[in-house]
Amino acid sequence: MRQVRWAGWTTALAAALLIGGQTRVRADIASDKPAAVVVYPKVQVSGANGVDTTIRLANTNTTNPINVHCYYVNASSYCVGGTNPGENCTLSPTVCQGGGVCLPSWQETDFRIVLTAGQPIEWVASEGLSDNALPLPRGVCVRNPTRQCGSDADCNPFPGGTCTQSNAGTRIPPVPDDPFIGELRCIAIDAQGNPIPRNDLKGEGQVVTFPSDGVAVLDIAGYNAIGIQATGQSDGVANQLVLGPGRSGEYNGCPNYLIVNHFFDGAANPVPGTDATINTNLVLVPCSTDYLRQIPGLAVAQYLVFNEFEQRFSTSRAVRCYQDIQLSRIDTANSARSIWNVSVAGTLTGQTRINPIGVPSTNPPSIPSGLLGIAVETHTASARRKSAAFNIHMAGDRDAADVMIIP
Amino acid sequence: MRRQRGLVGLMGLAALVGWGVNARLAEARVTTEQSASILVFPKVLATASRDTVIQITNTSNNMRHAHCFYVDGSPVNPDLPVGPLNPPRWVETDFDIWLTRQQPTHWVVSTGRWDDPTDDSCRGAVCNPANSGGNNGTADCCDAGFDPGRIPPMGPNFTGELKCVEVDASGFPVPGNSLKGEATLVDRGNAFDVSKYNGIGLKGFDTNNMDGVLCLGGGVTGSCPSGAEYEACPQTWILDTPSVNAANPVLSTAELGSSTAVNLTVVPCSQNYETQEPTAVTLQFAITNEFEQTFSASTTITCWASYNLEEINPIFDVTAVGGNVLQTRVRAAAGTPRGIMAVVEETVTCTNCGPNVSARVAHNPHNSFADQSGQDVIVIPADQIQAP
Repeated sequence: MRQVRWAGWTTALAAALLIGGQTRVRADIASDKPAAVVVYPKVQVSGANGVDTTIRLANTNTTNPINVHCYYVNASSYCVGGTNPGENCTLSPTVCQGGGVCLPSWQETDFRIVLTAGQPIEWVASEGLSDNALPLPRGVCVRNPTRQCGSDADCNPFPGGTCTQSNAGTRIPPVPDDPFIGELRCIAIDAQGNPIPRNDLKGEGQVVTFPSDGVAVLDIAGYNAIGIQATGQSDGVANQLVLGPGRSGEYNGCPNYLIVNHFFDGAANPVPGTDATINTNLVLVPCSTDYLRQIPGLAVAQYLVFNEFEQRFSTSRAVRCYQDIQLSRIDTANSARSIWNVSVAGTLTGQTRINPIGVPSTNPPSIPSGLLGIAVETHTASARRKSAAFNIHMAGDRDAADVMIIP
Repeated sequence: MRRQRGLVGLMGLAALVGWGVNARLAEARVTTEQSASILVFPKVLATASRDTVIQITNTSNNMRHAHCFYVDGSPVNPDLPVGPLNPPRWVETDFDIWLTRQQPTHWVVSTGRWDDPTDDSCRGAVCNPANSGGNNGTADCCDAGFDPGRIPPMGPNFTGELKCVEVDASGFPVPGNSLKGEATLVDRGNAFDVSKYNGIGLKGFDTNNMDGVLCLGGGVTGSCPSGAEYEACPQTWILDTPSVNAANPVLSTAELGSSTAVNLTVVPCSQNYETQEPTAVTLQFAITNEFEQTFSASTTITCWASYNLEEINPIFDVTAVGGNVLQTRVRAAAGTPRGIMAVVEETVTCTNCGPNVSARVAHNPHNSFADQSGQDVIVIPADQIQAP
């Protein structure tokens, strides 16, 4: 009888733990918590203008190493047609000659990283990181520390010997072009390359403008990589990452609204003793992406803009693949007449709510998508220019799931 | 049969307990990207060289109110570092703001914002920063928009935090989760630099009993009869930073010399605005460099602290730690189970680019999945919980 009572308690406790533990893997899209997928929306390189990007990536798990599969997406623009097709025209569309047009591209380059327990690494986008530049390029065999190894198998002929954790297997290439503009996305994987629900990755990106051509300016815009947390569920398709809807997918769904607090373009910095004018760039990337068939995501971003008088404006614009654009260029080419211009809005600051509407398209091929993004605020005074990037707020869950398909 | 019924009841009770734990765990935690009921700006400066612009927005479709507290953590003698003979002031100044639906607002900390409906619109007018906040008695486009209330100016040596608690029209704390905000730190004059971070939010729960004791996490206690009214502060903050004096990798690639300073600003989650009794927290730092080598350090803060990392411990210097990039986990020591809020600011200086070539960047550190095990409490004086 005592045994039965004990069994009852055990069953009850097990039930409590089972029910209580069902959602212990809490999913969220956030830039302030470790995640299984991290997205760096803005990676920029321009040797001619002294611009480069520092990428930091860390494994927050202090016990286990983690494998990561990363994808650079090149959204630089290239000439199509004309006399110099294929030439990079990111900095100036007028590069394209003979009737050629400058069109944005979308091409991914992928690579793998192995991070040891608790390890942070950083690299410069124009340089990459490999070989002896890696912090721990090789491990050593535990039973024979003089023998270098990349895996336990390398420790033969010392049966049972294990290899210490290292970055063996890591080779980070430089971004595929200069100038380069695009995003970086990294996914936690297992040793076989399958995505795994380990919410252990965090990262930061810093776009650095450094002195060049005698111009002594140093400017850094830093942001946190956006983390997409895994829920622990699986759809059984290893190369298809399902984001949402809500928290019902393999990863948490993308937000229904992005909310940006910003100065209206052309606003004066209100701090006494300053003479800067403020403009803000909005960087958006689609949540959905098909790296297998090289098909980007597409969303129509619907913008609601509120000024400090509670007055509302709205506009919309499609985002395919990548968008890095000044706010007052979203709705018009004449920024002085934009709803984001300070003289049109009438107040210094505003709130913009962005609702992405996923749109399927076959020409050019695109998949419907939600959006993620950051904002970059630039303060300009005469020849001086300083900027600050910040993560934008998110609210709600999209009705539809987003999908990332990897090769 | 009776025993069986008892077992079934026991299982049901256990299931409910589990569900309750589950429901609690399923709540969102401290956030820098979602609207919340308490907003914390750990680093707010209004000094001769630096100032701060605060932006706060009501993300709801109803009018919202907030009761805000500046806490001055500057030392009594601002020319000397904080020490036993030069403690922080720990002086709070509070005020109320009202925001119409979806209304954004802003103010400069050194000037505050005058409640003046005659402010010029920015259509055809330009903000003269000298007139910000109604300085010089001049209505200006700098403050165009519905003024959120009378916001007092701070300074001239203010270094501290700003905390805003969402309240109802009567002044009682409510879990509206409608506030978001950003702080922009601005260097005046020739230094001319900006850095920006998101205000840290604590979401409120429906368990809020609307009294002056705000319970952050934890269970039912004598002072918190409803249990947790807001999210708990995180157990651990995770910082990825360069080591102190490390060269910036981009500048190194461009063959330029550089060094980095890293500043960590920390405020305790628990604060008693009634007794004005500062809270002491011992912080423990677990540091891992890129070579998987680990180190540790600790320090104690009271009220508010803004440290360059080398002031905490020389181990953060690149020559001591032996790596260029660090992952640092910061948590309150077991003896002082209090949560903290934190923000990081890096300053990179080019050492061979000419005089004063530097750049700042601020960012919100990451926080862990786990909530602070203890309960933090913010106490608001009873006479402040009333209609303004």
